[in-house]
Amino acid sequence: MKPRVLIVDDEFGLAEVIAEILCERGYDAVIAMNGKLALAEMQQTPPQFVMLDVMMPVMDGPTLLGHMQQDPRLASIPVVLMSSLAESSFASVRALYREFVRKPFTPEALYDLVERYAGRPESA
Amino acid sequence: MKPDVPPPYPPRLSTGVAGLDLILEGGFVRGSVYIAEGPPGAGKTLLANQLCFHGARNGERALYVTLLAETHERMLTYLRRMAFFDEALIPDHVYFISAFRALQQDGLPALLRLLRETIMQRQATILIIDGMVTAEEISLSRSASANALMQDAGSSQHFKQFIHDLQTICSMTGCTVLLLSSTERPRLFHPAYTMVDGILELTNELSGLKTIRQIHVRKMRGVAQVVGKHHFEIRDAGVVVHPRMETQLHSPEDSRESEEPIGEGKRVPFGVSQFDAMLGGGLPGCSATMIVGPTGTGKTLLGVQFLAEGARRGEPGLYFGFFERPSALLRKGQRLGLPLEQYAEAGLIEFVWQRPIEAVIDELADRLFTTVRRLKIKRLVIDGIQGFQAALDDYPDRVRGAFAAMTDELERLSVTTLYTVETREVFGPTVEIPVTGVSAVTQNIVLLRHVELRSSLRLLIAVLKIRDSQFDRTVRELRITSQGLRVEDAMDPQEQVLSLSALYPRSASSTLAGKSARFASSASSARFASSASSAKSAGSAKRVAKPKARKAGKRKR
Repeated sequence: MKPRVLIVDDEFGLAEVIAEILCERGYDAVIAMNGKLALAEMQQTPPQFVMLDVMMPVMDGPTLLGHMQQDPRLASIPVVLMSSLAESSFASVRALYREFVRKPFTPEALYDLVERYAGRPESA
Repeated sequence: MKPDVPPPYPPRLSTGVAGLDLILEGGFVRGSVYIAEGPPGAGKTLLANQLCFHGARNGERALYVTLLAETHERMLTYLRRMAFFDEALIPDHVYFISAFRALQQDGLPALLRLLRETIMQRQATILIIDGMVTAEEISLSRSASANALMQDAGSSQHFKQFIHDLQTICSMTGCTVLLLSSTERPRLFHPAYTMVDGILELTNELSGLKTIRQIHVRKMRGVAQVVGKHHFEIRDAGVVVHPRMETQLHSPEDSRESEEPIGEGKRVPFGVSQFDAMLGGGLPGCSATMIVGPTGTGKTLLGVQFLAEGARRGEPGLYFGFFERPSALLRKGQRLGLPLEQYAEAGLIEFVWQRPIEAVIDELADRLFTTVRRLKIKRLVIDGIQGFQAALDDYPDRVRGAFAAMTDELERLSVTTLYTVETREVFGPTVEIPVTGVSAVTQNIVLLRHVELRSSLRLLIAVLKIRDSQFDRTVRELRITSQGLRVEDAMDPQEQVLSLSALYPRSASSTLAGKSARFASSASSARFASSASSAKSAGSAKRVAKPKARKAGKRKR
């Protein structure tokens, strides 16, 4: 079974590129455009790993992290926060995510993160 | 350049661009919807971000929504260079989101929902929507009408509805909206534009090899904006708008206009006794004077002497020049024994220097008047009026108005001004003022010339005109010595001085008599013709008539 990765980002172009790269590597990549859609998606099918943007319409990244903490099914899912801002901007939610990656990042950095948190797909 | 602007009504949101606020009478009207349109690279995104970050610093909450394929990361990369950018204000006070996918998937209604929800959630007071062309295109492509004309009409209807709904949301929340739209060329009419509260048009056009950026407020409800086009620049500080200087004149209705400039009627001396005597005790206070002469005749020296004498009397002076750097001026002062450095350190003389290339007249005027007001300048030397003239090369029809505006404003501010004007001819019988429009607005004229005297070159100084005053019309020698400038007694009338020889042939006096010499101005140039022979070649300019000059001589004999 393919590891499921949820990409939460309102910048759809970037989310699509990440999803395509991960699909080529054998992952099951799903995109949500905001925190609210991501929460609904996770509650339906919890992913192995979440790549989460910060600034999004409707529900932002930090708010989604708060909701995930409240839900026992989602609280343990590893989340990597991604942003073009410095990590210091998100100190208030530092305990709620595993790692931070600054945009833009290379495909190698992406592979490294996904393999560490979602494992390596069987076909890879 | 009105220093005090009364609090505007209805309440405004400062744009973060001082010049634009001035044009808009204080900024955007809060809760209104505006469009900024212009070609790619015109500065729309920069202007919008400047508005957001300036607002955020003042307690506003800005929401920046992109409908573009460009990522926020890329935009932030460019913004980081700008002085107004402050990453610490993101995401709490400036919030960036993309609504491209929502718009693409579900059209304008989905975009509107997303905007409403996010404005309320973020309690945004500023909303930017960057990429309105995308919204229009998607709106057009989603229109179901088969007929192209109907499709367009349907799209316009949707778009107008979108603007209307957005206005409703914003008037409820008090959020001010700026829509950014890219257009290759200005559109004269767009149906949706009838709905918005204001339209700003930004352009960047090539003039020769340089780019001229202009902003035009085409519509602004509830605001008596300064009409017409205004220059703007993009600097590290962000967008800098320079309102057209002519529009910043005080109107006759202005109460302060009726007040007499302080110092009018007094004399402003140079501190060179014989020259001051020629002037009748000095220049008339608050007047404008042209110092005309070819290179090397001491125009700048006369200027710094004027400032130094002012400083000695405790009157703040400003040197505003294009060609000589302050360090060179200080050295010049040393050679004359003038303690310019000491005066500069005491804040009594300020040197402002700028390159005479690619300047914009409104920017120069802005810099000039800011300094004059800040330091309460009483004596001003604009060294090289050609620097101002060059800044007007792209707008020949503005020359007269610009110089008139500048001179009037300086007089109103009680400033006594010297303009130095370099003439082309080093020797020769005519003096041509190469700058149009200046002679009409200056009240006093001083001429400097090289003369040949017994096989050596001397400097000659003469006063051609002083406003409403008697003055000494004698031609005298100007000497530059280590003790300062000296003006000698009248030159020997029997001497044949190079360019003036024909004017005073064997005359008993070397007086520049008004009847025998005229300073003339024409639409294209102004000339002082100092010989009859030259008059033949002086073209259309008014000239001294040779017989008249001889007649004067004969009479005296």
